[in-house]
Amino acid sequence: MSDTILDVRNLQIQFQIDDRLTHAVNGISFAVKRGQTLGIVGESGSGKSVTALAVMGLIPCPPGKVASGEIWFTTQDTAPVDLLTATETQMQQYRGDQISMIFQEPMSSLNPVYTCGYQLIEAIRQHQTVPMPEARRQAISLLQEVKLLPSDEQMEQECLKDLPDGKPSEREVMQAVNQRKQALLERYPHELSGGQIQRVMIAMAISCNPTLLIADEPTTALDVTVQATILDLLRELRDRRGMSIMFITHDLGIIAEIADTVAVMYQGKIVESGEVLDIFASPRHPYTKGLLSCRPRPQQRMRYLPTVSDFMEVKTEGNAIVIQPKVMTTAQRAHFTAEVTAEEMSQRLMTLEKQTPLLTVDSLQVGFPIHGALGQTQRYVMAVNNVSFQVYPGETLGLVGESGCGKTTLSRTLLQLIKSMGGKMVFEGKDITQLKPRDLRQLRRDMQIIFQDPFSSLDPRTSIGDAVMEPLNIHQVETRRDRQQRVSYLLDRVGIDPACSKRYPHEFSGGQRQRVCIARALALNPKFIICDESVSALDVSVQAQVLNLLKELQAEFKLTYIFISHDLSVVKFMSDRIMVMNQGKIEELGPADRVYNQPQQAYTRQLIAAIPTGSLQSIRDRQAQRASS
Amino acid sequence: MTAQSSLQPILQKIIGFFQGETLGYVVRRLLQASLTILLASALSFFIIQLAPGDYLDALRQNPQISEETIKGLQQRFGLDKPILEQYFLWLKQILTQGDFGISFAYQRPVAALLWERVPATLLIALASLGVTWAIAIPLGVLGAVQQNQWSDRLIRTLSYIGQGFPTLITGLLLLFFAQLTSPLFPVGGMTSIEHEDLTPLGKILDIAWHMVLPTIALSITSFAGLQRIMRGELLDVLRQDYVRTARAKGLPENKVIYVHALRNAVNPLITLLGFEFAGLLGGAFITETYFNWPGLGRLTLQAVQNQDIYLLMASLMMGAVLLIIGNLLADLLLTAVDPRIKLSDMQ
Repeated sequence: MSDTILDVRNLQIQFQIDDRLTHAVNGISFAVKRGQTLGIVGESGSGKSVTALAVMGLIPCPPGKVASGEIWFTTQDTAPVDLLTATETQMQQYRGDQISMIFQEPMSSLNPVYTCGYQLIEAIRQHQTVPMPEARRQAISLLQEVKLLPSDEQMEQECLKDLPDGKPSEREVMQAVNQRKQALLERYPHELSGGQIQRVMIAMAISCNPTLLIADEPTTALDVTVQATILDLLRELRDRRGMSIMFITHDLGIIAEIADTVAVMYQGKIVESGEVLDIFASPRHPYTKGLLSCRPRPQQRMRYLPTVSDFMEVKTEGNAIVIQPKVMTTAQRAHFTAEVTAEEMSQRLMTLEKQTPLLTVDSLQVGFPIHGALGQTQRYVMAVNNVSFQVYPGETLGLVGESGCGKTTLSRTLLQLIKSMGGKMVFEGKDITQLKPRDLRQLRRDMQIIFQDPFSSLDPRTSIGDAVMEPLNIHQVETRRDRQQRVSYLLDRVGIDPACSKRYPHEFSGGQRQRVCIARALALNPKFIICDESVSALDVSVQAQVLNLLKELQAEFKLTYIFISHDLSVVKFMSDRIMVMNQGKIEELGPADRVYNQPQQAYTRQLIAAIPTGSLQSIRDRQAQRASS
Repeated sequence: MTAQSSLQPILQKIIGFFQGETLGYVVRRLLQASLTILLASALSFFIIQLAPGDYLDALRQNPQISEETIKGLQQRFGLDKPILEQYFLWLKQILTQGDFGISFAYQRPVAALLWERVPATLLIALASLGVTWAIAIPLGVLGAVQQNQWSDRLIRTLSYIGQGFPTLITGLLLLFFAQLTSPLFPVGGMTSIEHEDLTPLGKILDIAWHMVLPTIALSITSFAGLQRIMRGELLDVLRQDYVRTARAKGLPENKVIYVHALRNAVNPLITLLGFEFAGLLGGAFITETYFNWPGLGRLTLQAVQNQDIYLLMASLMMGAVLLIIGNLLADLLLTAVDPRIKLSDMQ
């Protein structure tokens, strides 16, 4: 018992919205042990974030309410306390001190009008009575601990190198080091990157040496390489400080990287829990099985990505929801595990590359002007710098890179949404670099895009039927009746009941909205579609469905894709060839298997190494490493 | 040696300011502003001319004034010249001599006439601005923090009522009130009859006493809008992630609201303050008429009715200049309170 620091029993949380009462969390129990990491995994709306907020005592009330349950929390030297019966003042003393939390969206989780130093020192002084200089010193050492600042010695070394005259005095070096520390404390959140802010958040969270750290999707908004470093950091801090972590994510791959025990949540309930290795090696619940197999694995090339619904059926019996495993036939099982052979792949590539390219891009340059004090253009930041490549009809060209590498700028330039500064783009043998408005409209029939965020890419005041109809209206295709038929057909094709065409976007889930966006992109029978992070905002299980759909549609309509993503495993599943971009330039371009198996560039290797694979071997390795240290 | 070293940082700061982007930005904005004002003056001048007749028409009706006198006046005021020429003469006088012309009705220089009225208008405008903000901001915060509780509902009802009442009505009601409770409040004017005999403190109190009702009349309507903007903004900010972060740090609720949320909710208010600045000298002719307040609003209204062109032009220009300065100040203030806003982005 003394080893358990958090013991949640039969927790029920309800939300009263208008007249509807929803059970966000429906009677869950779990425990977190000292120095261990509990991973809670589930899709959006499964109640995992609400659970975390309940532990913090931060459920927005109204509309939320903890209906019943107990949350017993023990620190090193106190008797267990039920956090649900604690007063608000008591909870304030726990929050940020014994229990702290980091959040999903780093860019918005720090107050934009205060410096990082102010916010960090505020957290320190809230729970410790220390004078300002001491708080500042602590803040610096925390920032060093989260590796935003190098250690003192290292900074001295660097300063020795930077200072011009041969032998600077000790005082000058000290001054330079202090300046650097001060400069970081005085930075505003918008002057830092997502990964850096997440480090500041972690520094803030560990400032009072908490017993429990709650991490709610802390890496979801970050690039894979940054994600890997943050996970490293969290593991290191946990082991050094003996703190426990409650790690919430929708991605089982990340769970495998950090958790000791796992709880799988589905619709407000924990459907399965256990040791991480057991869950990965022999999942018992069909939902867990589905989750495990729907994430594309870069080392395999599946024909079809299994989805959660292939593994289970959800039935409502009266008020209760019953989950039943689906019985799979041998043929079905073979279908789910079928892989594309290497030979098949190279054959396909050969035939693709024999054709004349659909799109040829030649030393394309795109830049954004930097304005001077009087509004004159001083120089350009090159977002796309001398990029050349070709896309063949019917192929999928995957484009990977971290945020800011220029992949989105490239896609928008191809669509002529941004003007290029130099270079040439040829589509179907026609130069499209400088087009008149009329030709541009014609071009847009053939070139479409599916955006990342399905929530903001549909007009909330346009019914989904009208949204799909709009391109047909603009280009005056056929008669009104034919258009309506086409809309019905398209909606049906992407898996949405055409009877729902009068409904508005807010009535649909993220995955369904993305399907509507796909239908809209398909409306004019385009030849070429750019998918710009089209599945990044979706849950893994939904992501698998959409990926399968995109593949099916490609075969059916002979589509050509440029598939952009920061997630190499998704790109690998989709693409024939992969193009790796970094800082506006192409690092590497080649057949998908070759880029993944024999990366030529250090940058590509780095990207590949950062992918959380979720393999049993990697879990074993990690556990062995932890045991030995 | 010591004097030099203590002077140096100040000197550097001054040099830094002149080289910095702030000065460049201010200069650029002022250049743009002068063009705007020039165009605005031309536009107003010609729109005024669109109205039929001129100031002398009223005199022409009077049989006692001879044709010659009218002709003489016409020449004196320059009304016999073509409109375009009139405009450029007016402009030239301002630019070369700083002379805004003479009021037809008052037979005095426009500038002096306006200058006399400025203190009264400024006084009441500042007072109502102060009262409005001092009441609306706290009540807006209260409404947001206690959203949908009885206090919020009460304030919301009050502010709806306040917004529903035009100054026309509130002014009348207040006058009625003053009459009922007389001699609790004066019914009009800015000073009592015995004002000159009072001590300096007595004079101040006398004016303050006279200001109470007009200030209330002006504040009620603008209070309602401001309170609702404040409430809405703060509610928006309270939903942000960084407010949740502040709570997760264990900060007490009042610190969460006053340190973290409020600082982020003020941006639109600053913009609003810039517009309010322009209104400072606009005068409120309804209130001024009701309470017999010797302000600019009444003067301007009379100028419109009399077609007293130069007086009207001068007060229009004053409004335009204040609007531009108010916006510039608001923009500079915005960059000071919000580190994300850069002057170079505000073009």
